[in-house]
Amino acid sequence: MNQRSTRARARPLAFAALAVLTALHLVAALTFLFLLTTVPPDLDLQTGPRSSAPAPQPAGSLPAPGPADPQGAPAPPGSAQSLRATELEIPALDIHQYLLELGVDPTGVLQPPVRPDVAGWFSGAAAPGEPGPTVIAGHVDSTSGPGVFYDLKDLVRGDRVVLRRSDGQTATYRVTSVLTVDKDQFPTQQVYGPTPGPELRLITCGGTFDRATGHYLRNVVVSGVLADGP
Amino acid sequence: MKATPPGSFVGRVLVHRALTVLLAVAGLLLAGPAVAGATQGDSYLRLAHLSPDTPNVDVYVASVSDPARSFVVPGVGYGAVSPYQPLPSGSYVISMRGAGAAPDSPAVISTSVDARPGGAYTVAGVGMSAELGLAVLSDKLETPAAGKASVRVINGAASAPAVDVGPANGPTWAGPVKFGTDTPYVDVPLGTWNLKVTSPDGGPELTTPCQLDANSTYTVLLVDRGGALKAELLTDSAGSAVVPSGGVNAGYGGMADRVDIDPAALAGVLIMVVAAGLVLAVWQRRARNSARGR
Repeated sequence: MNQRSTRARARPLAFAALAVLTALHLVAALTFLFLLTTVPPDLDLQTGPRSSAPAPQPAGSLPAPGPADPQGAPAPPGSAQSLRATELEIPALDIHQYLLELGVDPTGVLQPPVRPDVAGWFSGAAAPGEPGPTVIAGHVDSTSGPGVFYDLKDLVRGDRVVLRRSDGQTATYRVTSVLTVDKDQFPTQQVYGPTPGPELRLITCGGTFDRATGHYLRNVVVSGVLADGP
Repeated sequence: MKATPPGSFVGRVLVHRALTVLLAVAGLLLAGPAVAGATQGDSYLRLAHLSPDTPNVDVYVASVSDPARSFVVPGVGYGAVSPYQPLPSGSYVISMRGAGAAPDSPAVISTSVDARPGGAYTVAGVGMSAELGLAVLSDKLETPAAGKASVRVINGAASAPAVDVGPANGPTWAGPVKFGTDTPYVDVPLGTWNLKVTSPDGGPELTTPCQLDANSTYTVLLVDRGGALKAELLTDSAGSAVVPSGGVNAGYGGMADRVDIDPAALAGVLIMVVAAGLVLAVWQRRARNSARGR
């Protein structure tokens, strides 16, 4: 009787133990899956990185400012032509970067920096603090790891973004929206169209990666308005 | 033998409580944060005093949905145009009171603005003070046609009852524009112009240089300053001088196949599993107890 009662009580404990074991298995399985899927997809373990892939970049350091993109568009006419964006700071994402200068290719498509770990300012649009959209683009990832704007989609309304200009002044923007859009329905008017005040656009990739073309299918676009300007 | 041992009862209550808590926590974790990254945009508001014989006013901008966002622009005189102020979209009530009047005194005039996300509005006191009106103008933010800029005219000059506006030696862009009125936007060629304002019925005339940039929209504002007609070019909006086509290819795919496991969701799943195990345990015990009770 006494023995039986103990065994009856022991059964539920056994079930609980089983549940915990199942949970642990699940964790192990998910961890394994996680590790499996994070192997760089286009890294051939036999021959090393593909020749077309950019060389890996040291992470964590503030990259030195590079020369302007060779395809960089000439500065637009207007009062702001001598001003450039030089530095980007996004405290919420722990980003502090020197900026390259970006232009469009012969087909008119905005060219992001070649390096995945730096962002660039599009010189065909407004300088920071000037009326109109100021456009910054950066990669979401490299061939093997996160790019400078990997966490861009995590920004929320109200987050601050600070841009420093070539004249040393800073413009602070307040995030007003974070959108993920299909590239084949890119909202050109919304991104590059006229704005009454100085605005900010941060652009990177998102959505599904199309291995056939080597490109993501969507763009993440963060918009902001000037909160504190020069 | 019939009575359930008290220890077992207490145990069951504890298990039930633990279950409730676990399930609640799991539910919270699985539900995730509430709408991260709202997609709502802001609006812009610009204020103008264009009533020549109306003394200085205090302009009250009251947000209907969020009174904390309300503000006052004090001492606005004739001819003043404020910079654009970004505001959360929504309904606003704009009121004008005489400069220095008590905030709870009756407003001289007021109107409401339904500010849409991504919209820009100019609210202007217009006309002579005897027939003062508050005009709510929707400012153009659409990209003008290629090679063009968009221009409209607002006539706030009592000295010019009706004017034509256009380049010197060129076709008229807008007119006749009567005092206290505004025109729709018209697309005009880019570049530097000698802007000419003429009064067909013999009023004042003037010529002033102006530069129109690509993908931008403008207001030509007519006001009387120091007894003379002036034409001022306001930039309503400025777009990217170069408009790239399509989206941006800014990824090499290295993180594309990474299963983005939300730690909170994972914890939620684990708790669910543990809870399911406990449910089974309680069931088992109940079945055993009732079998023994029989």
